[in-house]
Formats: sequence, C-alpha cells, structure tokens
Amino acid sequence: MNDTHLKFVFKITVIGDGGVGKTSLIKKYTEGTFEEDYISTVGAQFSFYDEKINGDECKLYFWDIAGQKEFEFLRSDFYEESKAAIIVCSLEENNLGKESLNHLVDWYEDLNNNCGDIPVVIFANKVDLIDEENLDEGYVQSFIKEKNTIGVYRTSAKTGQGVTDAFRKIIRELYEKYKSNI
Amino acid sequence: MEKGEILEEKKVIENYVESIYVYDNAGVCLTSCGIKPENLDEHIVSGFFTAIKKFGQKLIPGTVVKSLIMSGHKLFYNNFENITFCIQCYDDLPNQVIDYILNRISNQFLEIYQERLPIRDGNISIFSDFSTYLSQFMEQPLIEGLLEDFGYKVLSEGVILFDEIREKILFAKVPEEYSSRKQIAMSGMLINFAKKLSNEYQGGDVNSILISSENRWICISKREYIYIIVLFPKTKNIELNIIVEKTEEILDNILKMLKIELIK
Ligand SMILES: Nc1nc2c(ncn2[C@@H]2O[C@H](COP(=O)(O)OP(=O)(O)O)[C@@H](O)[C@H]2O)c(=O)[nH]1
Ligand SMILES: [Mg+2]
Repeated sequence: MNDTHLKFVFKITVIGDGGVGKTSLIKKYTEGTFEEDYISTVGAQFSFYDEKINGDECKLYFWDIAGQKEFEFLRSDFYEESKAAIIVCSLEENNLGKESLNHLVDWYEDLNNNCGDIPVVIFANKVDLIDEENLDEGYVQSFIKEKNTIGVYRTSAKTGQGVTDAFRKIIRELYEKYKSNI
Repeated sequence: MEKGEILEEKKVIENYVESIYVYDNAGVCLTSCGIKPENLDEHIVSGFFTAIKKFGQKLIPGTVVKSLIMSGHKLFYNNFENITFCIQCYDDLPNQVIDYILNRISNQFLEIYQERLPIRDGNISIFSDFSTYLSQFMEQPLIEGLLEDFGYKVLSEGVILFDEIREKILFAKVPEEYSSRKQIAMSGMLINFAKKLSNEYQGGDVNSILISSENRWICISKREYIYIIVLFPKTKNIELNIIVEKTEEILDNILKMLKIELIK
C-alpha cells in the first residue's frame, strides 16, 4: 500500500420494516442486480462496496439487519460502532408502505438510543410503484427536519432510480467527516 | 543459555494454522493473513464471527464464544475488550498450543495498538504493518517456540527434547555441556530403570522422574518415543507438582503435534 493513501472501513447499519427493500437496495448498489422474489434476511447479512476517493480506499461495510420482530433481541447489538445508518421505508400504497412510514420514528429512536447521533439517511423506496407527481412526502420531510438526518432519497431497487446518488452521498459524507479529523 | 535449535525438518506455524483474523466489535477486520476462500472478503468473515459472538452472548448471557469446531478444522477466539483474535487451524492442534499462538499475537498487537483502540474514525490504515508481522509470524518454527515459551514460563535453566526412535535431539536449549549423547542416553536408561523399579512395586508405567540434587531439580518425562529433560535451579522457589504437571503437559502436546499429518 502507498503510505500516503488511507484505508477506511465504514460500518453502515441498514434498518427498516421487513419487506421495504433493504436487502434489494444494497444488492442493487453493490452488485447491480435486482430480484423480484422476497428472501427474508436471517438475522443479518453483510456486504460491502469499495470506492476510491482522492486515492484513499473507502469501504462501505453494510450490516443489513432483519426488520422482523423475531430478530429484535439481537438488533441493537448489531448496531455497535456503526458510522452511519440508512433507514428504509416503502412508498407503496398499501399497508406495508404506510406502516413503514409510521415506523420511521421508532427505527430512528432505536438507533439513536444505541448509537447516539450518527448520520442517518432515509431511503423512501419502491418509488417505481407509485405516481411521483401525486406523492405527498410531507410526513417524511417534517420527520427529517425534526430529526436532523442528512436527507431523504426516493429510490427504486428495481429501476435503480436514486440508488447511486443516495449511497454516494453517505460515502462522501463519511469520508469528509473522518478524513478531516486526521 | 544458548539459542534453542531443532535438528529435524522445520515445521512452521503456517503448517498448522490456516488463517488469522483480528477484528473489532463492529465486525470490521483490522488485519488478517493466511488462506482465505476465494471471493470471500475478510470483512464478511469477521462480520459473521461478530454476529455469532453477539448471538452467543444473548443465548447464554455473560458468556463468550471461544471456539467453533468443524470437521477437520477449528476456530479459536481470544477476546480483549473491543478486539477479537481468531485463528483457524486443523482440529488436532492441541488447545494449549492454540492459546500460545493466540497470546503471542494478541500481546504483540495490543502492545503496538492498544493506545489507539477502539477505532473511532474507520481508518484502518494503521494496521497494515501488522499484516507484515503476521506473515513473518506464520513462518516461525512452532515446536521450538512452544518449548522456549515453556522453559521461560517454568523458570527452567534448560530444556532438551529427544526422539528415541530416530536417536535425535529435537530441541535443545541448554548450556552446551549439558546436551551430550552420554547425558541423554543416561536419561533414557534412567527411565527404563525406573520402570523396572516401578514394576517391582506394581506402580505401572513411569511418566516422569524428578531428581532433587544439591544444585538442581532435574525432571525427565517420557511419552511413547520422545522424552524431555528439564533443568531447574535449586535457588528458585518452584513448586514441584507444577514442574511435573507442566512438563508432562508440554510433552503431550508436542507428541500430538509430531503426529499431525500435515496436509500442506
Ligand atoms: N417494485 C419494487 N419492488 C421492490 C423494490 N425494492 C424491493 N422490492 C421487492 O420487495 C420485496 C422485499 O425486498 P427485500 O429487499 O427483501 O426487503 P427487506 O426485507 O427490507 O430486505 C422483494 O420482493 C423485492 O423484490 C423496489 O424498489 N421496487
Ligand atoms: Mg432483507
């Protein structure tokens, strides 16, 4: 390794209700693929994404944590030492979608209690399933103002819309933050 | 005391240990070495190990996962606050030997990095030097290292390991005048003689002989075809049962290691 270049690993916790698209989003970003079939995440799944910024190696290290109630007993342990978090909700117009929006605040608080004030990004996913023009994002917008998150991104793991921008934002944010501390 | 040496073909740590991982509680792999499956990133490995550790703590509170046994292989973990050291090795490597290896790595690592732990900024560049250390560590002879460590720990003046079948000194760390053929042959004869005496008293096989002389304790232990002679100064306050126990233990471990059929 070149001495002047650094190597960062940022652990990123990905949370949100089961079925909103956490695993799909990570897969889309890290592998570029999408699957229609729903495979429930057992406990936690790990993946990573490498990016070079100014010659420094940055690795986003995702902890994709199962959203289902059954895994609650382990969840907060899995948050340990996360550098940032992604909370995913779904915009789809059904129960799963509505519930996932209502639960944003619970996810946020669970995270905040365990990790303190780490950067948080909201992914409003499955945007391909709705008509964006009629989208009322009022709730999400007021949530992010109140909770001081980095931002909200409309994403689709299916079409890829917004996915790269959203993940890029996190990698940049973390890199700037930690690089300047050195 | 002179440097210990071994007269048979070198078996280094790499012959017994497949890989080493050092990671923190976030599951981030700080450094690693050895063979890894293709397409399996070290952070994925350490992530799963961390998840298993956390799961174990939920399953049985107050505990920590110390090992994972698989057919033919095993993984051993050494936990220090935020850091876990893990080695993957063949399953017939004795646990005490694994402890010795884990301790050496952990001590070295903590000596260098303790002040800088835990990693708060995600910057793992500082650990790249340690992977060089690990690679060199893997090339060190294992049995010699174990015996030296043993001699040092039990405050001995010298250790000789002898293979009766091949009539070879496997390891000697003694002042030169103490490792002649004659001295070693006498030790062998003494064990055989002691066996006869033991039989007279229906004592069965002889594991060890401890000689208390004016200047030294001399402990001779035998297992199958190898025996070990350990010299202790009389001047130091040493517990006799510990001398014998530890000497027999190291001999057992070495015998097991000599029997491991190395795949590599
Ligand atoms: N149409 C559409 N379906 C999606 C999207 N993201 C995920 N899905 C589907 O939603 C289901 C749940 O996705 P998954 O990633 O497993 O959700 P997780 O439980 O949050 O990890 C799967 O059937 C996916 O194919 C998306 O952006 N658009
Ligand atoms: Mg999932």
